[in-house]
Amino acid sequence: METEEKQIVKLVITGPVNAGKTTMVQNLSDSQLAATDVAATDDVSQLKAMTTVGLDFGILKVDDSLELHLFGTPGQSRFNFMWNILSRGAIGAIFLVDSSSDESLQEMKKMFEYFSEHVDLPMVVGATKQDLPGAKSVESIAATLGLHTDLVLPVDAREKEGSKMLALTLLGNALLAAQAEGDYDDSDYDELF
Amino acid sequence: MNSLVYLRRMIINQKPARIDYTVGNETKSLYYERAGFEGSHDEVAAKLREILEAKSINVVTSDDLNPMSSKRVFAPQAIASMLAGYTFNAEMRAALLSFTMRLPPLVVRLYPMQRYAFQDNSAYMKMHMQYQHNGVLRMQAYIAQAENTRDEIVRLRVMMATYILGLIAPLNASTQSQLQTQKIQPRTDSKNKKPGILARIIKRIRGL
Repeated sequence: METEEKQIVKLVITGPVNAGKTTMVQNLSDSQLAATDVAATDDVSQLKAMTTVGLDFGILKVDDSLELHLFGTPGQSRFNFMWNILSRGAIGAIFLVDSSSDESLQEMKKMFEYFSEHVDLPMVVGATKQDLPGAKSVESIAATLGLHTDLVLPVDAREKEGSKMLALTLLGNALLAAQAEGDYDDSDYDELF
Repeated sequence: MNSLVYLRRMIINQKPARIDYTVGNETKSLYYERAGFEGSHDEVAAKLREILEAKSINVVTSDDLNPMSSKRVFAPQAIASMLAGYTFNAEMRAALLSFTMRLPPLVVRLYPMQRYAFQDNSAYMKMHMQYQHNGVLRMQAYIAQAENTRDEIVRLRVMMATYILGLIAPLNASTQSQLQTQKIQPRTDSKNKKPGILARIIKRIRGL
């Protein structure tokens, strides 16, 4: 019996440390297969007890022939080289930034500069921790990163709904980009008319 | 976006029908007949918006339906009211973009929507001009041409209105063959095309 080959596409969730990447991978996955959290020992220990040293990995089974693999990548710009591997077969990237931390935003800026120069993928930025005192506004974060405010969204990474909305925004943008390039998919319209 | 398909069928069939839909844990209904949707202007607009976002929809077609009142809102007026100032969240946007992706090359019909206070009438007129100029409209390209979020919302509203009211329709095959100068993509297996993959992921994530 002939079996249909399974397609795998990737979604990359990245951003500075302590922005909520691990939680978002958990929120969007059926099952989280790998989490490489260890006790933080350097400056990160002042932010949180555990931090990701490898990457988070989760799978969302879309249907029998399609899987979305979610990669939560280390939150330091020294891992930028990983983009070469991760961007292959990826549908887009979600950046998360801790709105309440200047350091997070500066680190994010470095990561984003590398991304803009080396990676051609649809992206969206989620500004987390907007409820904390001193949190930068979405407009301020967009200005720092040189982005239109449409691409920076406030999000509570702890809430599944927030993770969904951010992913759906990215996917909508990716769909628009594909359509703008003339990549249409109208072979299934009989039931519409 | 089954709601768009159901609404279009109801309006085009011009037969008495009742659309049942679920909002939260509550099931509601909206009657339709040739004269329009049953209820006051505001009631109909509010119910139509609920239908757009309803998780579950069912349409019953019968000559024996019993509407509660004699008030009617003509379909173009009702759809114009439903869409007046209508904005949507990321989930609805993704669903609408997925729906748009499935639309084939289209013809656009002209209808005096300005009579029904359709707020996006000028965008509709421009879309029609684009169709006249090219002899075909690619809704995907039309949406992708949006200059900003606000413009994208307007274009999606125009798509919704023209689809529901039957003002867009597939360009038939004979017309397509005459359009030698138009670049129309060949059909391929939709499951393996990027928009198809993205639409499947969108559907899955909406269901999380």
